[in-house]
Amino acid sequence: MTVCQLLEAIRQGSISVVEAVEQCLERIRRWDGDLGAFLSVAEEEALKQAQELDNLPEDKRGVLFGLPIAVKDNILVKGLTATAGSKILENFIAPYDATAVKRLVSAGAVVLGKTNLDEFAMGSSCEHSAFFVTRNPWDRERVPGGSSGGSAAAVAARLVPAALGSDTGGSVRQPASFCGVTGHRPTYGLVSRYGLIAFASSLDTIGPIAQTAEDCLLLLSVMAGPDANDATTAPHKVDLQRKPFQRWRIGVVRNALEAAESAVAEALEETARVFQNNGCVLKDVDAGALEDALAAYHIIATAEASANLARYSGVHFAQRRDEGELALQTIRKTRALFGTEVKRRILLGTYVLSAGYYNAYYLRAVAHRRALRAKFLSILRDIDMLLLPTTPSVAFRFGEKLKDPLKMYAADVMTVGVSLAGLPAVSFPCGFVEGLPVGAQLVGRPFEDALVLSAAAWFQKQTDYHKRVPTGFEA
Amino acid sequence: MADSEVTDWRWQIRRLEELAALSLDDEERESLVLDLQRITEYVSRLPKTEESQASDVVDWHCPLAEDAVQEGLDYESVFANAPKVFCDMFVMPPIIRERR
Repeated sequence: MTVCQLLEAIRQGSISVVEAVEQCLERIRRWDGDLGAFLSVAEEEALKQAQELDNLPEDKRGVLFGLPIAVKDNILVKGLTATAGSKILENFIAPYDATAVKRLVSAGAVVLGKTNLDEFAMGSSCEHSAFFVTRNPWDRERVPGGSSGGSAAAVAARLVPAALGSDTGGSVRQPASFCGVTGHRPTYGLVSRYGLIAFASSLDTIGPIAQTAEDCLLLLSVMAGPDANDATTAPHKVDLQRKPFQRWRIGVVRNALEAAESAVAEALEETARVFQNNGCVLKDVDAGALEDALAAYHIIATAEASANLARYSGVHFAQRRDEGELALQTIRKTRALFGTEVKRRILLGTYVLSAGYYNAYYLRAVAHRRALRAKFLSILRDIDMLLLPTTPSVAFRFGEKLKDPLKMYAADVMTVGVSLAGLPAVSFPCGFVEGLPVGAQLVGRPFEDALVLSAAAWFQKQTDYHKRVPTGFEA
Repeated sequence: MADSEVTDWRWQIRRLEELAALSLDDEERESLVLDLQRITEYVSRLPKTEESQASDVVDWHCPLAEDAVQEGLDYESVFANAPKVFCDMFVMPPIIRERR
């Protein structure tokens, strides 16, 4: 069931909240041993909350009343572990709820557990989790994408109707694409980052993953809005009502289609035709060199990560390794708990910020980011949204890119530019290649999240890709 | 990669380890020599951006918060998440133990 269908069933009284939660827990027990989508399951807490909700009078019920959700393990849920997929935070229990979680729970959502991710959200395959890999429900020899691979796999396998992920360079959209579900990266500043374990603060966002764009819009409308605890949240009210179909002007990012594998490009062409056949106007656009955006992203993101992760020293944060007599020895021993990919990015970030390299790398990347945003906004003056693939290929096999970080980074080549520009983007299933889902991405103007989600929702009324369930996971 | 470049990167990684308070083992260090050399070579291809490319579009739809003094958090909120509090201060575990 989709989020909207389940909420309606609960409203109608055909299923209780406890039953809805039990059904999800049963599926998690049955399937997650093999999938590895969850790092922890809060069975007792979820059932207790479900019972309390069932006893709530009707006039006190929120818009998400009874909705079971999963939350990526770098987003804080009070009383539950928040490891960020890292040994360094293995025993950390969140002392408070992230604002996004707090708003969802206040509206009636029930958190079932925390999902797997690449360590500190640094990765595109979930292979960099310090605990175990998550498998793609469509082919268990393949990765689910990352870093929100656990959340995407959980939704794809119908373990939960919806989950939260975080998107820095594509970490909601890319796994959504690989797992055949819908994932939304909100406009930067629309959803509070309070309670999200920071990777790169100027890029980090929290976004919903669900079966449909309509579900994502509903979750977004609950999470969005200003927050006194995050000064980067936009102060104004944003219209998040669903938009009716119009003859939208859609920019097809031609150079992105050319950079994708032919089968992926063909699925995107077909997607464009669905819009065109219903009166939308297509226009080829060039959104700039994708490789340049990837380079700028890796300079800025690693620079910010090196600063953000400096706090994990065992003094204020992280489980301490008291193995040296000197404070510095303790700090180094503690930081040895970081995995290789995190260390690689911290070192790269330290390098691009260090004396002698700052101008050549960091400032150049920041200037490129400004120019890229200007280019996107310039294109979006004349058109309503951009269409491009979410990923250049379908889900790859385990180990295929693990030894070569540049190949792994290239998995995000279609998503990082949008992240740098801070624009809203939704990834939704638009076809299948040899049984594996292909994702299309619609990108909009700042704070026009409802428009891109409405366009994706309209596409999902015309097609059934989002309804397909991986073999073996049918209800 | 030429031998001199490898030597340069080995030195560079030792310097970065110091700056980032990390300590790598020899195996990690060797694999990172090659990785970082390749990654920095890739990112250094980023072309220089002319200022004019970034300034010709008005950044619309992004209203900023009012630039005004706001009340800070009260003590109760600040300490709500602290594991231990003593006399309005966060209690931190000691980082240097007494020598016995």
